[in-house]
Amino acid sequence: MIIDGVEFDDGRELESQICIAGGGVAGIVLAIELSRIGISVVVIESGGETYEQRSQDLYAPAEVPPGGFPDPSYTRLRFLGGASNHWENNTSPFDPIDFEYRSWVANSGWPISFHDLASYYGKAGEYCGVGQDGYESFYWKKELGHKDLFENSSSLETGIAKAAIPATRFFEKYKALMQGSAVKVIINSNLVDVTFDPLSEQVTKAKFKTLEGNAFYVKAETFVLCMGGIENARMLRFLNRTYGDRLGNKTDLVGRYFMDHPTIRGALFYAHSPASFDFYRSNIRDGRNVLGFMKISDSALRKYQTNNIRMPFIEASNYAISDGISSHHIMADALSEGNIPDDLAKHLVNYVADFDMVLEAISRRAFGKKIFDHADQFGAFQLAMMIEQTPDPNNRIKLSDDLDELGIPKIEIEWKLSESDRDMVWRSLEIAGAGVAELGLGRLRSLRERQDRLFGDQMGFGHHHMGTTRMAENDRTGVVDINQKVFGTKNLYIAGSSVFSTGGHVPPTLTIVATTLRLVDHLAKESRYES
Amino acid sequence: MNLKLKKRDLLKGTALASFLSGKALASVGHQTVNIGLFGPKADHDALMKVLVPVWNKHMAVDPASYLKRLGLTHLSNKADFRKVSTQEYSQLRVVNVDGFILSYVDVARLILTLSKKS
Repeated sequence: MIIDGVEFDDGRELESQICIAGGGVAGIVLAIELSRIGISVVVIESGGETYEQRSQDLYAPAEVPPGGFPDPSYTRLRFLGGASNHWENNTSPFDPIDFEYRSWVANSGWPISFHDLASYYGKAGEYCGVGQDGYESFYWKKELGHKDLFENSSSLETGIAKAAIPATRFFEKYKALMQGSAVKVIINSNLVDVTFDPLSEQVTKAKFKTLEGNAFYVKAETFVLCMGGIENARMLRFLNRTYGDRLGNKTDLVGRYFMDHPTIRGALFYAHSPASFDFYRSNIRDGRNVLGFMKISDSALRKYQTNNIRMPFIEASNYAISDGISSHHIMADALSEGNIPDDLAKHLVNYVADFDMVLEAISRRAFGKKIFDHADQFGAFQLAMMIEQTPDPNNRIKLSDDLDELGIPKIEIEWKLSESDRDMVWRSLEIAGAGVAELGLGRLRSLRERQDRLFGDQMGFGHHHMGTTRMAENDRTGVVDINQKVFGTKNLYIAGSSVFSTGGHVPPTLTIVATTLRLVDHLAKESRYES
Repeated sequence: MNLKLKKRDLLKGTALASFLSGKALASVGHQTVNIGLFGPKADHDALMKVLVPVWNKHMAVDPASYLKRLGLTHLSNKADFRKVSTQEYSQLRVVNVDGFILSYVDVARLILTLSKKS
């Protein structure tokens, strides 16, 4: 049942066992699973069934984030299905090591282990449309009939990524399931307040408001915020203004440890036999795209004390990997700021030695014409690395004095990639370069000379917002406990990537679903206990 | 317009990578020059200008002595080179040469080979 919140009389009160704020991936999975076990659920979504600019504008930050971090009002979607409405459906599970405390990764360590989540990944795969057949390279090499090039390596291994074709849009796919169940979905309604009783530590009521101005209330036994990696923190910080930081913010951690997955194409790989890399190219099986990627093995991560990192092989043309074009940009950027670039002589040599590609670039840009055939021919593999960012309390979501249309403070984002994380990338490439050479697969060239650009205007992002309401053992080190319950409360929970203690090296959605399924089990037990 | 233009790419990966793989030793120096400024010898010289400073920065011994210490006395013995080089890669005994992650054995071999050809 889908109801538009504007239809409610102002001040109306609804009741449900569980109230879910946010109808994205986590909210939808939570609602379906809870209703299956007979728990009454209401899901309240800010947007509607499709994109609407007015609702989307509620995401807008107070100002464009500094440091090149992308404006999150463009990278998230505020309507049913959330970010799944534009995701690539790229799924992989986190590794066991991602959950561990690692002495060389500051603030690492989840209070739960991979083992606690492992049994949920299969069902999470079903929800994501990629099946339950797992991510083991030994299974997929047999299934696809390709060679695992790293199975004899001591430092490298093959990771598996799976994506559904077409991508799973969660609301579109599960709309009928939700409508056929006891789930009540209310759209165009925004959480603006809760009533919290400090004595019982219970949230008793939540207030929702539409952009048309009417407000309604939901009374429930349990409330779950499923609003997204940034919005969960935004709302919790806002609510804490009323309740003196009692909602999980005793030590001012709500919004901190904000992480994304920075991505850079930081290396070229010259394979002796590019044709042998079929395992690492697109493989279509049963409506899914399955492909391998290079990663550093668990033992090597420990031995060399580096963060996790994902390194897919991307076929690139001579034009795309041109040193001359890159040097041209580096020189132009520096000169435009009145500086002489480092290694000027080297860039000049690159420019001259690669002059045909520079000409090609000029021709394409100025005249829209290609000149050289070999410009589009295969040159090398680029390594499109997705970096595990070290959790840093100084990377954070803050509240601005600037308010949105509903009177909720807009966000300010403080984010940067630390020098040590950047150094870690080059260290990882050293390990990878040695690993591929040891196997006789070819030679890897790191592009550290280009690091200013790679970590500047060429740095990409996964747009995976994580860590802002991190899971921890206690309220001194995190915002939610091992069951995703907000510290200081008895019945307020959070689902989604904001609870991630570390971000791993793979896209988060599969793990969002897995952690949400685990939360379902917990809430089911709680519900039985209370009844 | 579709011009065929051969490139000077000694330092651009393919030549170096194939050289180090032992598959195409003879190809070094045979990468045709694109704009007429450089010849094969100039390619060798350019590569040496990159390799030698890197070697000197990291190693206190000359390349020949280093290889000799490892029992590698004949440049033509590819199997032994491969074996020792692989050991260095597995121990992460590597150095960055123009971005390439190379073992010391590979760098020493490259320097000695190029110096013989020059």
